[in-house]
Amino acid sequence: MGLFEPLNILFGLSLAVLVAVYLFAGRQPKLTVPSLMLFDQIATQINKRRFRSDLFFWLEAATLSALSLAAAGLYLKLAPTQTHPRRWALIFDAGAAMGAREGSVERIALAKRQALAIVGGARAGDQFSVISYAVEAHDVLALTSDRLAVARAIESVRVDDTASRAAAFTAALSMAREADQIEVFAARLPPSAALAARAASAPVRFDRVGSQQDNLAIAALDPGRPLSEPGYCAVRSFAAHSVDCEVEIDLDGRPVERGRVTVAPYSQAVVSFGPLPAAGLLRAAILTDDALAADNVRYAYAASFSHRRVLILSAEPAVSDDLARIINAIGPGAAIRTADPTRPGSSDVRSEPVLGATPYDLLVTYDMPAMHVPAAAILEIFPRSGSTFDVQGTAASSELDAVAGRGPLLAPVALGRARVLSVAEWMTATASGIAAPPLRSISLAALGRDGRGRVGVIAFDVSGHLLFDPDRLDALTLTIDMLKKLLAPVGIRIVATGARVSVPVRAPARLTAPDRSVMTLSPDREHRVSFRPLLTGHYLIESEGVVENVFANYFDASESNLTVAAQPTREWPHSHTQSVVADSERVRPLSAFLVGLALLAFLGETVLLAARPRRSNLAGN
Amino acid sequence: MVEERAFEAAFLGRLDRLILAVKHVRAARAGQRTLGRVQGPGLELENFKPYVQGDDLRFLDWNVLGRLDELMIRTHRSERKVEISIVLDASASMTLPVDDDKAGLALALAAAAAYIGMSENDAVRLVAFSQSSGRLAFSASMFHHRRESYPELRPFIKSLRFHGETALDAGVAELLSQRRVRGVIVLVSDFLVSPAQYERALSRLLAAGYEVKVVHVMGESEHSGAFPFGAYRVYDSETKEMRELRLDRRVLSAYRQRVERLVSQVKEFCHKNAIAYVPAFGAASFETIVMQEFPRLGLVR
Repeated sequence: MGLFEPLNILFGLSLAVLVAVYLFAGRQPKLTVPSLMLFDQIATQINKRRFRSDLFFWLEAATLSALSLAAAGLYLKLAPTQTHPRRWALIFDAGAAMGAREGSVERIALAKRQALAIVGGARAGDQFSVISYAVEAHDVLALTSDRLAVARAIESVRVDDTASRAAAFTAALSMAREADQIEVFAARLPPSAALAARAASAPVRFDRVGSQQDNLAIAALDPGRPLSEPGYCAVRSFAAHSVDCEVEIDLDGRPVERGRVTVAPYSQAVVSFGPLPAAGLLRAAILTDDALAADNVRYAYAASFSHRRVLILSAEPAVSDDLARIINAIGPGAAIRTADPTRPGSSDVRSEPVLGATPYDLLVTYDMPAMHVPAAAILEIFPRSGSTFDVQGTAASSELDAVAGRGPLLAPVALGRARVLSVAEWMTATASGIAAPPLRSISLAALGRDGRGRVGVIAFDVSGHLLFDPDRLDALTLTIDMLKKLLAPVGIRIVATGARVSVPVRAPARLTAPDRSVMTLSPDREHRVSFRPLLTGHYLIESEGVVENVFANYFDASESNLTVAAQPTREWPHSHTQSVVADSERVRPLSAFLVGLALLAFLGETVLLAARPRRSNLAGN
Repeated sequence: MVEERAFEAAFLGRLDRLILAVKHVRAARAGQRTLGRVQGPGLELENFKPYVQGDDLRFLDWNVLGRLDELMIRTHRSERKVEISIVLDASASMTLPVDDDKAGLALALAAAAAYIGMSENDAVRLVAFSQSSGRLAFSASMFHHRRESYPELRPFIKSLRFHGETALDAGVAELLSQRRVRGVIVLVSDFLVSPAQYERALSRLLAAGYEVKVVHVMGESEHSGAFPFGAYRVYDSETKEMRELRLDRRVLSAYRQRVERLVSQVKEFCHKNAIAYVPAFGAASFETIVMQEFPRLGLVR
């Protein structure tokens, strides 16, 4: 009832004004006499009542009351009819925080208990749907009155080692649009939850799960550089008191560091180690028991470039020099060779015994057709016709507009010349922009894997020290990202949970998850299998001749902070208009009736006023 | 305003033939001799008249008898000293009802009485008093002896403000405390106080040896009870007390009876105590009151 909202109170005050008007009109006129002693023994019967109400007053009061109540949205709440089954939507937060332990059980188990209690207390015939959300919203079970299926669906809800996204929560509410009542089970809700809940098609009730818990998490793991630079591991505390924590770091299973560190409340401590003796997979783990286990392990790969060999082929020495400096910065110690195959008298790099003995780790070509040099990875920059790609022409100027993973740039970066080429199906465009003339949208960078290995392409011209132009740093970062991916170790990836991972395969792949569950993935049109790692740990993808190890890390500063909402429950009633549509059998608005009543009262007063002079005339005659 | 008429030359001309009636006059002391217009014992020769039987033979002019052989009596101007205080009730009730111009009538009557007093060369002053918040507001003009100084009373009359409550007791007490010589006091009031109060005040004046004359002022509508019918919140102009009354024929009839009782009470008290009592009800009859009622009721002669 909105009677107590400020505007509605103002409407209601119109009644007080009406009473005040009648009170004022009822006052007797003032008469001042020389002395009241001349009226001493005079007793008169006078009506002491100031407020004299008549039929007009009551008609006017009825009009104002009816209009005020209609403006306030008065409605009649009727008992729901037994014949209409109620539809419930049970929405579970499946983010990592719901996996936190509350004593001996996890929060998700508590949430399931609450949900099962609601299901058990519902009337016969009521229908339930089960929805979970974390990175995405999942419709676990559509509306059904089968209580057994509902219980099974509730039990099947699993927690992901990812943070819950606000968009997923909104999507979950959208999935529950057919419900009459939405129950949300979560430790806390996204900041925009109230807004989304008010826009929902049914009343939303938030059921808080769990209580405040302390937690430790590995926020970062930097392997340093093998044999040269030490690494560090950052441990973050989400506790209101100091916590002693034991951290273990190992490299390919061999212990590197194990030590204790005391972390101050809501702060971060750093454990240094190394330099590491060799390259390999680095794993850091918190051994101290805490509420949430998902953020207690973190993986990193310590790469070594000391035996890596890179060949740069370019007709322009300046370009070769720029690329060599960038590669040297990415992989210090790598053997980098530059050559100009178009130069008269220069030896054919393919015929050199030293080069042909073992393939290069990376071949970089600039402004030339494909060179058949054996290499584990190839990067073609500003490629010419006859290369791996179908080059359709050269644009006089181009602009870098968007980079994969970063989205549209705040301002386009002018890049100069660029090759207009069609990217092969097995490649993924990593940057796009506009070329002119003629004005058209083109891919400026792409990455993929074919039979030769990893292949990358950068379509714009990097001559004239473009990569070191401080106004075009986006071009430099794009190139560095591309080189890092091409130089990354084969068969191993470190990703964040929730990120999409694609692996090029030729045949169906077998995916083994950290929880030892196995599933088969079918390759798509571009001969890739994709999946989203939702658990922390090691994913193994095996296909014909392809073995890919994916290590998923989880850390989210807001999700790992295991605070809970202040209120144990909270309700957002849906808006009046929606309630009329969705719940017409329970709520009956009285606005139309009240307006009708006001009109009747108004007409009644008009009739009385019109009849009054006629009566007096008749009486006069 | 009626009080303006008290300064009109034509009206004052008609007042010239009036003399304030004073029963007990006091001979002037040496050096303070004041000659009155009236004939009487005195040293100042005024005129001669033929002897008639009964004249005092002490005033027979023997020289005329010797020379002309006629009996002629010498007449003299009286020598007397009378202080006249015209005391005005300056309470708020004197201003109501506004249409009646009761205050104007009171001022005009007081001024006329002062003029009549001055015509006999007596010392005349105007006194006004009221009481507001328990404090007495008492103001008095200078004594004026001659008609020529009559206009000098005008600023005093103009400056008078009617407010507060009627305070006959306190006003009389203040008057007596000034220890003036006994004289004549003309009290102009509406007497809208308890009978005990005005009786006490008048009795004190009489006891102090003053010759008291009363002019009872009322408005025309106030006296006749001509109030419009209806229900009113009726306020007392002096006490600010409020009563809710429905004025109708019955109530106004009772009001008029109450007024008559008040008038008769004041009149009866005055008669009992040999005080000249003049009712002055209505500003419209101002001249009639002065020219006819004043002489008729013994205020002047």
